[in-house]
Amino acid sequence: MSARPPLGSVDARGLAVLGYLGLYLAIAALLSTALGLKPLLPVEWPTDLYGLSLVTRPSPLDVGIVGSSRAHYAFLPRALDACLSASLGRPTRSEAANRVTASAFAVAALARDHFSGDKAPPTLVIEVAPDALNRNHFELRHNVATTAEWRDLPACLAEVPATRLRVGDCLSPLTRPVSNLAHLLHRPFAELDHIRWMALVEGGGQYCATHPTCEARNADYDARHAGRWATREAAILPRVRSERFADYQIEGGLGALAFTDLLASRRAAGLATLVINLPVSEAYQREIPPADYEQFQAWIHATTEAQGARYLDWNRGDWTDRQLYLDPDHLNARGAHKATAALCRALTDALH
Amino acid sequence: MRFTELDYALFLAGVWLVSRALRGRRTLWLLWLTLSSLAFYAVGEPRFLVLLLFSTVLDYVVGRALQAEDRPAIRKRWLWVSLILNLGLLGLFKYGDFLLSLAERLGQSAGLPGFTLPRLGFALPIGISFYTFQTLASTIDVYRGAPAPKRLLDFTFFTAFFPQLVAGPIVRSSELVPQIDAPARPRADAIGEGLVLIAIGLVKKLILGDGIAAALVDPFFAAPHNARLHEALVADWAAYFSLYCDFSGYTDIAIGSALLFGIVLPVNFDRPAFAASPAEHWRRWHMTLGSWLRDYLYLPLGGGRGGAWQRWRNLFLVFFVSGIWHGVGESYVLMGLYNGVLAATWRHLRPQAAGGWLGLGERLLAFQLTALSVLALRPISLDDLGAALGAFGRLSGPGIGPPDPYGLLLLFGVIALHLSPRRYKEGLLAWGRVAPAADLALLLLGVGGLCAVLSPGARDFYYFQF
Repeated sequence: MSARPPLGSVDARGLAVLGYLGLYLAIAALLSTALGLKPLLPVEWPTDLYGLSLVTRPSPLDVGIVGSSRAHYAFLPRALDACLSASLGRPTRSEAANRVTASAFAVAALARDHFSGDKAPPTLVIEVAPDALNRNHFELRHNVATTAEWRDLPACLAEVPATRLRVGDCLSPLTRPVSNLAHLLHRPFAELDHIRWMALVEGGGQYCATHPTCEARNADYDARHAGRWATREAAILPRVRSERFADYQIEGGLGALAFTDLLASRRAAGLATLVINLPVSEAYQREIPPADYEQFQAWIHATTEAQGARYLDWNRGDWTDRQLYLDPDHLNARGAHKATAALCRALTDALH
Repeated sequence: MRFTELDYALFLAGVWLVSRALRGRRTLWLLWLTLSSLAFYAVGEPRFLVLLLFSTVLDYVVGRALQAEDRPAIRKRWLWVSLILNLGLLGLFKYGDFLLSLAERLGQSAGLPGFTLPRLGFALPIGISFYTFQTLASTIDVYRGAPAPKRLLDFTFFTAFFPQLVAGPIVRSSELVPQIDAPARPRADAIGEGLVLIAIGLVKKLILGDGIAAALVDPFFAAPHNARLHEALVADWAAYFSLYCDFSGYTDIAIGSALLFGIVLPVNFDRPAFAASPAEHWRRWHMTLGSWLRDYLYLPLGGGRGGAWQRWRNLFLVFFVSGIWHGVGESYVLMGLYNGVLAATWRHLRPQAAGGWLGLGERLLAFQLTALSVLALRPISLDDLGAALGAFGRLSGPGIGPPDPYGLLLLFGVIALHLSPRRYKEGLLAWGRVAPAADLALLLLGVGGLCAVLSPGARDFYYFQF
C-alpha cells in the first residue's frame, strides 16, 4: 500500500455511495413491508414462521399468549382450548407467539405484531418475569435491535446514556428490512415441517397435545434433553445475578414503558389482559436478589392494578417440585400440562 | 464501539461527511478528526481518556525537548523519562495485579503461608498496549535523530486516530504525520478500496472467524478433557484461523476506514500460515508489532550479530516480550517462553529454509508448532489450557462428538482463501477502485444481509483485550 500514488483528487464518490445506500434501504423497507415481514430471529421457533409470512394466523382468536421461552415451554395452546371448550361449552382458539430471551420490550413488540388491531384477541396472556423488566436487561440491546420500530426511537435514544443501549440499536428499523429479507431468502429452518406443525397444529407451544402419541413424543423430547438441567445449572445460574439482575431497575426502562403502554392499549380497547409470572425452580429463585424481587412485585402489582389487568404469581405456591422442570427456569411437559390447566382455570372466569 | 456495529457505521459516515466539508482547511480538518477519535475512545472508556492524553502529551513534550537538546546525557535522561513513565503505566495497569499475585505465591511457597498482598483492581484500558508502543516509538525515533512532532494537534491525531487506536496497526509517526502535512483528500479509488476492505473485514470477522469459533472451537473448550488427538488438531487449526480472521478482519476494517479519510495505514498480515519458520510466521502476523520489536528491541540487543548464544538469546527475548505483550497471566508467559524457545531454536537448527517437498513439510511443521501457541490466546484458565494441550496426547477417550460440517466448510474455505494467490484479493480491491457507487452500496448491504443470517452472534475482537 505504501506504493500508492499521492493523495490528491477530489471525489464525490463517497456521497454517491451514501445516497445509493439510502435508496436501497428505502426499497428494502418497502419490499419488507409488502411481504409482511416482521422482526425476525434466526431461531427455529414457530413465531418466526409468522414473522416470515410463511404461515397465516387464524382468526378470530379467543386467547393470545405472548412471552419468552418460559411461556413457550409452559403453555400448550391446544390443551388450553380443549380445557376451555369443555368448561365454556363452545369451541375456543388459542395461539402463542413467544420469543427466546424476550424482555418486556420484546414481549410488547410480539403483542403488537401478532395480537393487535383486528387480530387482537379478547384475552391476552402476557408472561412476565422480574428479569424481563430490568431496565438493564442482559438481552435488551438484542431485543431492541431485533424489534424496535421508528415510534420507539425517542424513548430508546433517551435510554442510551443510562443503559447499555447504543444509538445503532435504536436505529435498527433502518437496517432491519435488509436482515429480514436476508432471513427470508436464507430460511434458517432445519426442521421446517416440525415447526410448521407446531405452529399450525399446536398453536405455537413447545409440547404437543393434539395427538394420541403426544405423551410419548413429549416424554421423548424431555428424555433427549435430560442433560439440560445440569448444563444450564452450570452455565446460567452462576450468571443470573451478574447478568439478569445487574443494576436492577424497572421504573423508566424501555421494558416498563412498553409493557405499561401495552396494558393501557388493551384497557382502552376494552380487552382483558392476564399477566403471569411463571414459576422457576427453587435453584433459580435462590439466585434472584430478594430486594429486586420485592421491587418487581411492588411495580407489577401497582401497574396491573392501575391498568385493569389481572396478575398471577405462580412462584408462590405448589410449583417447587423439581420433576416439573426441564431446566432451572423452564417447565417440562409435565409442568406444561400443570401450567396450562392452571391457566385454563384462571381464564374460564374471564371468558364466561 | 465495535467496528461490526451499526453505531460504528453511523459514526464513520458522520465523521466522513463533516471531514469532507472541512477538507482544504487543514487545521480544522485535523481538529475534527482528532476530536472525533477522542470521542470514539471516550464512548467505550471515558475514564481512561486521561491516560491516553497523558501518554500523548508526555511523548510530545519529550520529543520537543529531545529536539532542542544536544547534550547526550540530558537527551538520555529525557528518553528514560518517557520509557519509565510509558512502560510504568503499561505495567501498572496491565501487569500490576498479576505481578502482585505472583509475588504473593512466591512468598507463600517460600514459607510464609499467610503472606498476602493487596490488589490494585485496575481495569485494562482499551488499546493501551497499542498506543503506548506507538508514542514510545516516536520518542525513540526522535532520540535517534528523526524530527520531533511539530504540533501537539498532529501528535494527538497520530496517537488517537480512531481506526488504529484500539487494536492497531501500530503506526510510526514517520508513516502517518507526512500524510497530514498536506491537506488530505481521498483519491476517488481510495473510497472504493476502503469500502471493499471494510466489507472483507466484516465477512472475515462475523461470518468466518466467529462462525469457526462457535462451530469448532467452543465445543472443544467446553470439554477439553474428553477430546482426542484428531479433535484437538481440528480445534487448534480452527482456533488459529478463527483468530486470524478476527484480527486480520479487524485490521482490514481499520485500514479501509482510514482510507476513506485519505490516510494509508500499514498492512498487518501477509498470509502468516504459509511461513517457512516460526520466526517468519510472526513477521507475517501482526507485522507492525513484529517490526516494532525488531527496531526497538531486537536490533538494539544486537540482532543477528554475535555468537550463537547471543543470537539465540536475542530472538528468544523478542518472542518472550511479544508473548507477554499480548496479555496478562501464566498462559501468556508460557506462550512467550514457548514461542521464544521455538523460534530461536528453529533459527539455530534451520537457518535456511528447504525447498521442494521437504520445504512443504517444514512449513507444515512450523505452522503446527506455531498454531499450538495460539491456544494460549483463548480466554481460558491455565488448567483448561493444560487440558487442551493434553488432548494432543490422547488417542482414545469419550471424544467431543463429530465436528460441525458447517464449521469444517468454513475452516476449509478460510484455508483455501489463505493459500490462494494474492491477486484474488488484489483483484477485488481493484474492482472496488473502479466500481460504480451503486455497486459498492449494494456490496455493503449484501454483506450486511449475509452477516445478519450467517454470523453466530456478536463477539468482541480478540485483540481488544491486549
